[in-house]
Amino acid sequence: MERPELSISVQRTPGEAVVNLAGEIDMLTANRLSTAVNDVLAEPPPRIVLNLAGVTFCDSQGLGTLVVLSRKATTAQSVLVLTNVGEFLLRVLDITGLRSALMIRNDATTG
Amino acid sequence: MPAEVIRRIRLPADRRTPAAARAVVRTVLAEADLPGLLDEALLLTTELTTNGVVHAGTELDVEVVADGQGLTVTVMDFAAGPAGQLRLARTGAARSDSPTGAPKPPAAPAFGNMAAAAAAAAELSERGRGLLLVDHFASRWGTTHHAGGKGVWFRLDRQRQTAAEAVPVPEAGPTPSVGALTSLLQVAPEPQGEEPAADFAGRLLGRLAELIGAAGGVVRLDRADGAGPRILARYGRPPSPSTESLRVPLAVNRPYLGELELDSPPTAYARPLAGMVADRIALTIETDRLRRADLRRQGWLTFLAECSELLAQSLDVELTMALIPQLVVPRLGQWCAVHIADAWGELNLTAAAHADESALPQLYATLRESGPDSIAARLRQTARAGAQIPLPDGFAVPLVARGQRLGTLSVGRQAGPRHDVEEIAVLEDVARRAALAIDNARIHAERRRVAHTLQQSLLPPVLPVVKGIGLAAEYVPTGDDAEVGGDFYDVIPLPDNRWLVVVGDVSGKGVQAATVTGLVRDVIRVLVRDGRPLPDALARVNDTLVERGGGRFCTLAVAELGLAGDALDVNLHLAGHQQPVLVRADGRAGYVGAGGTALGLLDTVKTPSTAVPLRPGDSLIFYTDGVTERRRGRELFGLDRLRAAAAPLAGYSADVVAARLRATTLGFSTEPPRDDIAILVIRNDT
Repeated sequence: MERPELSISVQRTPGEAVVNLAGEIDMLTANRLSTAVNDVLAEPPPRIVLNLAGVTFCDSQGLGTLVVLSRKATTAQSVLVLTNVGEFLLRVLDITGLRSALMIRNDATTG
Repeated sequence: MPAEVIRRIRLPADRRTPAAARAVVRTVLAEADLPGLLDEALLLTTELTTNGVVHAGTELDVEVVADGQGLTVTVMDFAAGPAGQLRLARTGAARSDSPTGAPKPPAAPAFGNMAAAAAAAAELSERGRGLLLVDHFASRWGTTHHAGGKGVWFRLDRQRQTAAEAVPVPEAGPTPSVGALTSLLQVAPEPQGEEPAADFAGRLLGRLAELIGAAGGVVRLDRADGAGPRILARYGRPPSPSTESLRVPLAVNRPYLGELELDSPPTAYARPLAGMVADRIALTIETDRLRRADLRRQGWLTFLAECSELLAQSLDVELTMALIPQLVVPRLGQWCAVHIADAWGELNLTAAAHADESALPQLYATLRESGPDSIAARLRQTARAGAQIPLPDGFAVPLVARGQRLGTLSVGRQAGPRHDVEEIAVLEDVARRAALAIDNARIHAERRRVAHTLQQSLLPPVLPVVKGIGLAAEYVPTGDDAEVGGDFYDVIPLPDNRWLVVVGDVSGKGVQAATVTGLVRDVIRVLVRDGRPLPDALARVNDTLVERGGGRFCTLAVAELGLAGDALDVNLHLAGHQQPVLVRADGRAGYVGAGGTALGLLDTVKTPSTAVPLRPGDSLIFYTDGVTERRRGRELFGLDRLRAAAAPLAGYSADVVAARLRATTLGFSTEPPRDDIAILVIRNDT
């Protein structure tokens, strides 16, 4: 049970910051995700790409966190974009009605 | 048909709990070969456990059951309160999370406020969102109640529409005989065995299988320790998952869960018989569980009683502190350390023990480490907070006695389970008793020191050296060295080369007797130096005692000495005191002096004077009742023995006479002296 819960790495270029996530997002890890994105927002890039390719699990707290971060990015004159969102997560976003509150670009190339 | 897979685990109210519950669900789904349910199952399990951690805040019992058709997960908490709150939250959330979209953020608020507001809103809506998800994905869901709390469960079916299964029709077989049935009841548990429940279940299972013609069977028991169901007893070959089997749950109390499974079709009589056997097994398991809990509790009670007894007997501070870790190891931990605060509140390691002697140096090194996360830092926190604090491999409790923080008691075990609630309570109890024992020992040591100091102040540090007069004294305090005795002696110089010798005994013991002793001694000193005649001085002492003695009285032997040529003139006054022994140089010995009145009892006293001339080599021996009343069983040392012991000492110096009499008195009995003993010897050394 002691696998790494969520690993977060950030790559910044002048145009955007790419936040690569791998692992599980739940009550244990959502705060760390918030902290990481808030750190990026301290000097907001035009675009923040949240790469969910490595995310194996995300619960409703994780979704809530994504929505809150997206709003904060907008307030900070930036844009939060989600890429590589898994099929099941998309279904959950539809069910909860949160899909419209997030910008999802599954076909977008990162970089 | 795949076998049923059950996992039950109790998890703490911790943020890691959802992840732990997911791990269990993953295992169960893999074992039950239901990978298609993984995403939904993980999400819904997380929502329920998160809900429990956040809103119940108690430990959670998570039960994951997979059968051929799907998965059921139940999350139980131990919080009182209506489960109706869940419904309220659900309907409320459904409103706020209607498909029209999430609520819009308020217009341009301050950044911090917005974050807080958003977080609060998110928390509210997430709870509802979680149950919305459960409602959407689950085939069925609902709430349950048990004695200590409530639970929420959901069911995910492999296919949404379950195929109506054909219920097997039991075939009627030959009915077992009454004799065969009775044999099921004749099997009785043997409570003396190592594993009475397993043994009993095995024998009963065997009988049952023979009776209904089953090829094999198992009894599984899940003790809710996270290890899943384990086989308590088996018979023949275990029922294979592919064939039809007869399964009966065991009626054991939560958090235990068990079942009986037989490799046999549920024929007409097989099921009720299996049910009866399952009940009997369940009863034995319950009895065994209660017996174990009871034994454990009894063990702790005995342990605490032993600790109390050992600690209560110890009146030495150092020994008490050294004793404590020896009591704790290995019962409550592999190692134990006692830290005591010094006058500045700094904790110092006073005693430590380790179950493995060779690990002691490493333990000392670990305890010496400093730094924010070191044990030393944690202990300082324990002492300051006055509450128990966890350590990396154990925990520490404060030592508090009579409201005073004395230090800390810490235990740990590098390997093995963490301390449970019961063990922590026991250690806290040990700490209370230990702290009290340390405090008692300290008080006792202080009393002993006071008694010793007081006693010393009542006796002259050295006797004067007088040409021609031999003077020697011996003093033995009572066996209880925290008591001050009432005996005293004094030698006071008078004008014209004369001396006054005083031996006295104030009634009673203790500090009050000591103050009266001091009073008597000082009044006599002042009066005789003033040149008062002795009878007059004694009358004044009597007046003082009657007025201020607090009901205490005093016997005195007072002798005025003066050399006249080679003769030593002694003028003896006895105020209720025992007659001194006169030992002539030629070995004759006898008691001399006329008895008078003890001081402090009557308004007027008589203290007749007796002249006792000492020729060269003669000795006069004064003593207190500690000598003559020295006991051996019911026998007293007595006047006759004293005279017999004194006579052979004729011709010896005063020092030798005093020392020999002291040795004879003490050697009379093996008991420690009950009263203090004073001996003073005057000898004509010309």
